[in-house]
Amino acid sequence: MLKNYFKIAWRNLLRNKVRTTIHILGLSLGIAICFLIFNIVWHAYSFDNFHPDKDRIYRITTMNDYGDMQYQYPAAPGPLGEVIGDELVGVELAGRLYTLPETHASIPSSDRNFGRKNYIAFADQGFFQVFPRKWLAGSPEDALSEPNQVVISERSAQVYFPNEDYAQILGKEMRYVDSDTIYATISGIVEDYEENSDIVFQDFISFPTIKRYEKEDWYGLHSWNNINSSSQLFLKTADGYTESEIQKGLTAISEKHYEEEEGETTFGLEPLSELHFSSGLLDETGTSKALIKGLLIVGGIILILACLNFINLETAQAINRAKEVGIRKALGGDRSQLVLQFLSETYLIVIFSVLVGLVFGDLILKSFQSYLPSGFSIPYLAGFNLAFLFIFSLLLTLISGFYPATVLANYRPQRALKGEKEGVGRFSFGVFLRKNLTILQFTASLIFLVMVLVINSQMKYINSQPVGFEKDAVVYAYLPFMAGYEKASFLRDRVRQLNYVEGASLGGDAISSAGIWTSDVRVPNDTSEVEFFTQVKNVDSAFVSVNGVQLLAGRNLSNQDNEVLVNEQFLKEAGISNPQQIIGTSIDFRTDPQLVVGVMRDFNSRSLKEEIMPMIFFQQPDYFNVISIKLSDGINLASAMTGLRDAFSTIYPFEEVDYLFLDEQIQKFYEEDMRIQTILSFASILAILISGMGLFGLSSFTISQRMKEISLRKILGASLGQILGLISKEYVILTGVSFGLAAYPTYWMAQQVLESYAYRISMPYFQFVLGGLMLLSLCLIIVGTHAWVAARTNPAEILKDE
Amino acid sequence: MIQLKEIDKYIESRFQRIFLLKGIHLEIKEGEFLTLMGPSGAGKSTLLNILGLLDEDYAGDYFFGEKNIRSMKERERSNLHKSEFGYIFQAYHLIDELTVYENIETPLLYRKVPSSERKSIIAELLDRFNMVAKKDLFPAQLSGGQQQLVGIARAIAGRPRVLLADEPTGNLHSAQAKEIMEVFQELHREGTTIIQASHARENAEYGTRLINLLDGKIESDEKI
Repeated sequence: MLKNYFKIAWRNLLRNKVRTTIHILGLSLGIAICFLIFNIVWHAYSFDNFHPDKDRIYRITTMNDYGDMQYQYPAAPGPLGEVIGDELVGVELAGRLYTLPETHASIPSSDRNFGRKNYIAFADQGFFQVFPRKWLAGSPEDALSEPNQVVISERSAQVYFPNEDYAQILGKEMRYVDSDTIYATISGIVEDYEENSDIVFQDFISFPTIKRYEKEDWYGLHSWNNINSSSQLFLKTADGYTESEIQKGLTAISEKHYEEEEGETTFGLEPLSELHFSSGLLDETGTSKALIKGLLIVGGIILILACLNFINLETAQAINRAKEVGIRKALGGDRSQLVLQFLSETYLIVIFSVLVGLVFGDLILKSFQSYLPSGFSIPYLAGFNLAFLFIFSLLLTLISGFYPATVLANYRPQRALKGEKEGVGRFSFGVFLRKNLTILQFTASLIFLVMVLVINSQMKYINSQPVGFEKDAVVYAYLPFMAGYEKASFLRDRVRQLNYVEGASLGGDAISSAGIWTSDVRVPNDTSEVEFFTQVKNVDSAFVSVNGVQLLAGRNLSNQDNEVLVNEQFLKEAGISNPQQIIGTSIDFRTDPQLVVGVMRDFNSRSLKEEIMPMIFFQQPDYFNVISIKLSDGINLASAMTGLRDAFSTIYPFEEVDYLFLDEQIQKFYEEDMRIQTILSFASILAILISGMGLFGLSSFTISQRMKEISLRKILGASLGQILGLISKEYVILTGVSFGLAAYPTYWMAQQVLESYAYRISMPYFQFVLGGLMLLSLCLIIVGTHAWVAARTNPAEILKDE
Repeated sequence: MIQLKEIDKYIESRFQRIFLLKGIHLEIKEGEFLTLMGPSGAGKSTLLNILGLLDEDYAGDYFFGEKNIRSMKERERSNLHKSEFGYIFQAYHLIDELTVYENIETPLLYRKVPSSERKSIIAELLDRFNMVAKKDLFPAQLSGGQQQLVGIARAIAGRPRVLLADEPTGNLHSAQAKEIMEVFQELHREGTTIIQASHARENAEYGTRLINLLDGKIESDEKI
């Protein structure tokens, strides 16, 4: 029976190639997208779900509530790690981790250098109890109990000491340099995780090392009030304790150790399963839940569009198969057998679509590689993927095939055999549904399309906005952390001597950066004092000239201490209207009073999503981390970069340098938005493609149904234009209705997007109209070609058959 | 075997009921070869559809054997339909996508006849109608007479007790029509009850009983 079903299905597919192609293309696009998204989601949820008792493992987070502002940090203050075992009931194990990004690893005995690595951390014994691993050498009992011990993973061991026995590696000495030098003896070797994990660290230095060097202060672990994102605390609850019980205990601890007036600080529990979606360990590994949600929505919409296409076209063409249904019913086929037959035909189409979809998926994967987490690949033959494809294809068959199959199976035999169409009255549910489905498709396509257009114009606007400084021809580089002002000034002077360099400036960070330093400041105004938050930048006197910022009043910084510059916004905030008025004022900022010597014109030091904040510029040479260099115009960039690199390595022989272009870095502020833009563009192309194909099939069908009418009208003297108009009118109305439906949701979403920018275009209604017109013209081209062919057919040919 | 009592069939139009059949009383015995005659619109096809359980939208009672069709459950009716009736159409109504062999096989599939038995039944039928060489052809590759032979083969494949034929020779020329009617005669001799609708008086000559319909009513009922 099934064989017979598939046989006839196969012949039908071959007979109607346009229909088959449209179905397979449409569905395979939907399948490709869903398959990719499924794998992305699966990958995201596969992190750290292999640890024993993973449901009882939590990470401590800290919340600061200042009334009007709340901050949540995925980190715990140092002292909490000390006391949690004693003061919190219901904790089976607690483990501390302190990440040391950008730490230099080397072997002192052989002077082999391994460069800066992100995979180094302090850990205590508890950490390896919460996250147990297989020990290849050494033992968890004594490996991290003493200062200056380090446990390395197998992968590290193979890099540091290739081809050596693990037993021999024990006892060897490692040198780690972040700000200071730490010597540590290897006390254990553990296996790496094979599974996906965010705990990517490979070298674990013993926690007591911090105490030994009395570095708690330096690492920010000394005080309850210091929350450093490196300081991580994990705990495993004892069996039988609920999350809320532990939470109560944490609240008690925070009440005990914090005084009321500093704003309320509380601790929270973050389940291990959330770790991958939260930040804090290493930024490169996480995934945002918002992204996953967005992908699911986009994927869902594309899939729905693909299914709608199928349903639409199948029900439209059902009439062609009415005769077959009639015969089969007369021969004794009952409804369920017929439904099964049509479903198996759908299933066959779905199977082909899955195959084509996998090819599409692979192509899409290749072109979007940079948007996906590193190391993400699709294990096509993994059990979960095969299961997904199997279940998904069945589901898809049911979703897209069930309604058309029922419609077909419901044809009454005696009518179907006579060639009568069901329900050809004034109102036909089938036609009504078809129109609505088409409208839905158009609406979704329009929303995507207009959103892309809106984001596009916003991005164009952002890029054309003056930022208030010169962003071209400025490069900058990070100096080795805490390497001292002396070396930095050597580098600056050396760079300045190069003939293609116009100027060089040292500072805490580049003029435009994602990081922000804020502080409160008190400014005297008349008799009173104004207190507010201001952005702080640590700069030298060359800042103004290198970045081409304008001074409105006063003078530049000299090399005196306690001199500051402020910006216009600062004046506004302080309630001072005349820039001259603030010059010479002493303001209360940090410890000593500071003298305002000049006022800078406002510039955007951060992304244009934010307003310009009040800013204060002062110099603190010990904390200069960045060198910014202004290059001359029209130079050979490649050789200039070589020269700059040479200068750097003369001063810092052991360091690698990476010169970054300021304008490229500024673009990075909008990376997220560009991603959204790309994904949306892709989605809108898909949506339009699918809807377009659907329209192509549908209009070709409806026009072939109306051939007789068209022929008669031609005979009665209708012109080509009149016939085109007659056929197109309906689709113009459909597009119009879709536009009406799409307008508000698009407006709302566009508003959300635009509101995330402080500098934004006003609602671009023109783009709405443009999107609508684009869709309308696409629609008219598709329908028009069919109609044109129809109108050009010799009417005698058509009417002869009647 | 078949008993119709007071069968009415009508369409509700806006202002009046249009009767397609009115007050049909009919008894058909097993083994009869009955011809329904009458002009277009007399209700021949309508009556055949009702007899063949293809149309359930009528008033009156229909007994098949002892059982009233109305009191039967959907499944029973479907089983009765499958096992007792075979259909032959004026326009042959073969499934275009299936070969001759597969067309004949279809009703057997719906009756869930096992594969080996199916093969032997079809082989026998192909042999009987001299179509063995044509079994892999599609309907479009056959002449009208040949298509109707396939239609008959398909109709009797399930060994129905009643064969319903709606203008079986309407699309055929006289030589082909004669051949088809001879096949009917032979089937009748083997014991199949045949009910055919026809325009042509000469087709009635092959049968045992002739009913004339006019405007949905039985005009005459004669034995031949």
